[in-house]
Amino acid sequence: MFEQVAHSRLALAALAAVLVLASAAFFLGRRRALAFVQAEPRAVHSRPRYHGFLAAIWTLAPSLIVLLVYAVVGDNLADTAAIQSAPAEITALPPLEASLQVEAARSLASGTNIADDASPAVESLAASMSANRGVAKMIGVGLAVVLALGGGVFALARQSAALRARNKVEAAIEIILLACSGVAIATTAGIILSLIFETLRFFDEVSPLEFFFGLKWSAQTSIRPDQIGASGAFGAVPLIFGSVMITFIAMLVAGPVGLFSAIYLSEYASPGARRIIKPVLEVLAGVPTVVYGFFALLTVAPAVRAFGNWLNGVLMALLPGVDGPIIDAQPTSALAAGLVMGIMIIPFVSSLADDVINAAPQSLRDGALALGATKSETVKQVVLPAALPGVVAALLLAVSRAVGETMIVVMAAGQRAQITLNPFEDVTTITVQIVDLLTGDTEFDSPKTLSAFALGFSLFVLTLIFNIIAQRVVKAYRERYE
Amino acid sequence: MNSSGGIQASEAAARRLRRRYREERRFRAYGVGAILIAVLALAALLVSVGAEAFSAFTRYELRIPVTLEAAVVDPTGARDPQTISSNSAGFTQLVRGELDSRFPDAAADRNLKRQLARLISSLATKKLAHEIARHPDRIGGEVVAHVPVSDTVDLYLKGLVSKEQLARPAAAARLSLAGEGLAVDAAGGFAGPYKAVTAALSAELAVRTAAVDASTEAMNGVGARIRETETRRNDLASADMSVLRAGVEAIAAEGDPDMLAIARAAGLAAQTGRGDDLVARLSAELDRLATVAERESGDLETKAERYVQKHEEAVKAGAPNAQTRQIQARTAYLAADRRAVDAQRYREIAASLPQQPVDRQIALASLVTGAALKPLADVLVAPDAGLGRLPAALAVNAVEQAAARAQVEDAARRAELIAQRADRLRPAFPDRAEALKEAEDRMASTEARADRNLQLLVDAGERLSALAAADANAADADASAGALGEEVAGQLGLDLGGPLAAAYTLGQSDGDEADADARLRALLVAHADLDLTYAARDMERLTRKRDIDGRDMMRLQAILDYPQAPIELGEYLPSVLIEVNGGVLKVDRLSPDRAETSVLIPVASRGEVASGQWRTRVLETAEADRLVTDRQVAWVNTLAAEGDIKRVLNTSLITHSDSTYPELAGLAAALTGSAWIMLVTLVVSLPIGVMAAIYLEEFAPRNRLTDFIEVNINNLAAVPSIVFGLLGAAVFINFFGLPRSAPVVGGLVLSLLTLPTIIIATRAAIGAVPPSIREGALAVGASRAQAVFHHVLPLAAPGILTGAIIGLARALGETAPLLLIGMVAFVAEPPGDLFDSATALPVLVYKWSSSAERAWQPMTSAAIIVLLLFMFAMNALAVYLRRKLERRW
Repeated sequence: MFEQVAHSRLALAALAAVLVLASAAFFLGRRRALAFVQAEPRAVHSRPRYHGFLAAIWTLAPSLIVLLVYAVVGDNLADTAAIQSAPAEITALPPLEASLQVEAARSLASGTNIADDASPAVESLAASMSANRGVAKMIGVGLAVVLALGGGVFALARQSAALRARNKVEAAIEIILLACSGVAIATTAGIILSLIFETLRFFDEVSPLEFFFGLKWSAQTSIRPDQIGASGAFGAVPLIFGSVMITFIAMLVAGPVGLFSAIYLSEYASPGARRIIKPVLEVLAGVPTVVYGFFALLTVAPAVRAFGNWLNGVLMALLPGVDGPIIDAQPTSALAAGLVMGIMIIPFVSSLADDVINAAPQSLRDGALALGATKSETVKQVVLPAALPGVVAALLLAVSRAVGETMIVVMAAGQRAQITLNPFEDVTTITVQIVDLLTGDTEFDSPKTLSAFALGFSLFVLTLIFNIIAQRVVKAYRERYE
Repeated sequence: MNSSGGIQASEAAARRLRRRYREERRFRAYGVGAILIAVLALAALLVSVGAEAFSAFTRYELRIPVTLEAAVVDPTGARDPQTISSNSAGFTQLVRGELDSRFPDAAADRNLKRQLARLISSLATKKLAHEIARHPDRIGGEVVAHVPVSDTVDLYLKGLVSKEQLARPAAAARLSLAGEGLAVDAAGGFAGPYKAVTAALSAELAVRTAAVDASTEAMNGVGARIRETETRRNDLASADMSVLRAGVEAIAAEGDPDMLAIARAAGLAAQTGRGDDLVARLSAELDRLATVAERESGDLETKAERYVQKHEEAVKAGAPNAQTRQIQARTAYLAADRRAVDAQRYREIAASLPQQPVDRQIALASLVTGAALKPLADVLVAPDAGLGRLPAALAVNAVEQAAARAQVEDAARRAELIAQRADRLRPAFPDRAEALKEAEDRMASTEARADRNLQLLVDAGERLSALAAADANAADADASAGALGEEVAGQLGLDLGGPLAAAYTLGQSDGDEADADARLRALLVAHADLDLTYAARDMERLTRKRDIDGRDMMRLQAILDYPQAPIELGEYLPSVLIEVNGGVLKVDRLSPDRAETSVLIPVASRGEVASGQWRTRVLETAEADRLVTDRQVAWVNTLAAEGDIKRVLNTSLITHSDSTYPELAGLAAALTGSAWIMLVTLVVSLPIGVMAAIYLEEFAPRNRLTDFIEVNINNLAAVPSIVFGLLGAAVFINFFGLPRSAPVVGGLVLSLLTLPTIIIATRAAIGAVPPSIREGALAVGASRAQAVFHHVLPLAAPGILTGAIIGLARALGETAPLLLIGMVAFVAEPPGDLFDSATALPVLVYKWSSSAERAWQPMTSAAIIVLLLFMFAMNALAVYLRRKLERRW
């Protein structure tokens, strides 16, 4: 719909006109305020340009709101009105059919129609939609221009020397600022609402019990319409298992390495060494995940596979009488993805842990050292126990990061939904399946597509819980030592 | 104890201290090790990607003079730039023609001509076509065409296809005619290539030896399996009832539980003569089948009606897909009708069940289970049961005949139902009736097949009766009956020891314990026999494989045992080429002193060639294992030697857009797309983020709402990026209807992703401005807004700027959210505006990385290097700005 506004000359012209009117209001307002200054300099409350700004705001704000509302809901309203009086051929259809036809009409009216066959009923519906949209556009654009003129005239008429223009302008600015911070809330709300909405639609078709406890995942819906018995299985347990397994491997790498480097950096390293090492770790954090994914695919996965095959040979030699490979190393594996993800998370763990360890009060260290403890004893017996909640929180945040990580697992973990404890086999994760389900052409009415939202919602809730716990812990920890 | 002097009081204390210091050093080493791991990982990443990328920064280019024939280049003669630039096929034809004239003997053979043409890909002259379109006056003249060689040739020239050994032997060579090719004699001249070939042979020998070992080991495993099964079979004789029952139940556990329950009920019914349970189960199953069939029939009908409607519309509009729609409609209708008939038939059987005699009920059950329900095993091992084989065989034959008869009747009845339905439909839907007519015909052939099976069974029954009537030697008759049973089972493909038979047998023993153990034992024996058959088949396969590998092994060993023997080089051994007298020869048969060759490029003359005037080229990768052929290698090397193939800087990596040919692909479209996306992200997220931060830091009252906003922002910063992709797909694309793959959507999604980063960075920057600045401004009478906008903000600007740049750099590398909003599309043109189809650099990396051809790997790495360069540049800029502008208070 924004696109229609952007591509519609009339709407663009209206926007330009409103902007011109606003700047005209600004200059007019300022000039008139200047006249006040010359007439009665002592009575003037605000500087002239604030008068100008106020007039501009009055011109701009109402009409922009109208244009925005039109852009968001204008066409929808117009279409709804058209559907009310849709031809009988369409209203008589079963709901699903009817909605298909309405969609066809909608795309025809928008000129984005790619299908080559529209029935006369659809065409007539599309025609009435276009007509209604035209009316909506005229109303929206007309109202915007009228409001701009009216607002400007109103503001100019109210001008006087005593008008507290600056206060009003500042109040308006504060509202804008508040609105901007509201965007963050709107984003969260958007995420939650869209995920919940689509997830509920998914649960209409697949029971939540199957989704959360089912052991089989095969998100296939029929390819051919007359195919029989090709409805998929939507048990998310193998995906959750895959995510957990890869995260576990990643934390096995990132936990010790990140913690030890944080301890070294904060307790041992000279300031010079810190200045060199910290940026290097930051570079590691700045590498895009798709690059890590390629690294996993190009270098780590073949190495892991070679190692797996070698290990298999050794085990086969040690345990005679076992037929078939003990470790059947696959080209993509949980281990490869987990290792690379661990590398990716090292800087994350180390910088968080570094912060936490630094936040432990110096007096604790001094006390321990004064008692004759070595540095490592101080760290192990005093600093780390004191910083433990923070360290745990850091690890939790890292886990949440690993669970939500996408590209590495998409490229290096594989597609097979299975539950296995063998890290040399390929597993699939929640994020891999989301990408898999939503890449390419997606239609928003098959359980296949909707299952991606159910997975996304589970992922969101999971990471949210980790984050909230971690933030609580960190906050409590900070407050204890402040 | 206190023998030592010094500070330490005792030996023990000194030891303790040493231990503590050791521990201290160890702890420190852990820290250093951890940092080393991180640094090494980074180094490994950069080195492996960088090394792979290196080869993509140059490429090989064919430079060949061509005459631009107007008839080929501009067939219309209008000199229209549009036509000329889109006619790269014509230019390619000219260049390929030029290659043909360079190697005339190749042009004569179709296969060779194709190989020669493949030196360049068909779109390779696109750039030349564009250039000539700008200067149409050059048509008719001669130009030097610069054409990138195809990716396989390029990889070969870069040494990424095969290891090569080049040598100029010290011996003189003598060329003579030998058969269809040339023989080259040179005393010891081929020692090097010969060594390479024998090395490959040894490697192959090792592979074969390992294969033989593996086969032998597997055969041992199968042998053990056979022995184990035989023991199991023998133990059955003495096994007691509970063991037998457990064994049969284990067999019956595999398979569809519903079908198995029916089989079991059938067994019970057969034994006791009461079919209540069978009827109940069968009716339930038939009812379910009928319901499913009815539903599917309804769905298909709706679908068919839609196709009919579409067909009519298509006919009206004269659209070309009318025919397809009609076929779709017809297929769907036919399927719907068939399913309707199925449902009708299921209901009919279910309704008639209770009135039928038991054996008929069992026969009908076999229609549902898909196999005749009977313990055929009884026939084979019946003497155990004390029944005698002959009577048992006759009984079973009767059951089978009943099942087969039921099948025949069923087919006939279905045909009838179809015909009825066709009659009903004919007045309203002649087309559907016609299609159903064909289905009826097909049903008739099904009936015929079932009838043949029945006939087979009837014959077998007659032969059995004849045996019984002859009343010959009882043992002979039993043996014949067994053989007959097996024969019939073989013809009908019946599973003697399968789960259905097991369930049936269990049902029988449920009903009557009398002969239960004998029956169960018979079934288990049949099952074990089945296992033995499979094992024997495995053994045979393995033996064959081992014999083949063993023969190869011996052959290879024989060649290697004679150090000077000539070796035949097939396409599975390294290739040896000889470059002499301006021609190239391919060795077919090689010994250290002599090579028999076929000609790839003709030599100028035969006879003696001095040492140093000829050379050998060994390609260690066999021709079968690479995409570039020996001929192509010969041509390419000849062209390169004449200076017609040159290595140049790969500028098309930046100037071209995506292509299906790796050598023509580039990053232009992705870079433009990324630039558009970054623009949107900057324009949306920077103002909103900064204003939100100003509000929270300077204006917000401390209350629930602002606390909530704060928590919210912190959480948003930690939400996985893929969730933002889902948001984009659901809200921007599905709800607002913005186009997929458009930079504006990508930009909006990444804006939301970057927003928390910018807000947090801005708040930090504003918070770092000392309160004295604010207080000073307020003290001289500024309002709060004036204090913030005139004084605090300018001072915080450097921090905000660096935060924004770092946030944007992270957004530049984001991939997952863009995948979900469809930015993986193939984009061959840089996007012109915010609503065009576009892709982004990291998405292109992902896309290329999943392409199979080897040549994409360096391209992907090169794209990564470009991406990293941009990101490092942005981060470096941020660091520079921070150093330059940051003020310490």
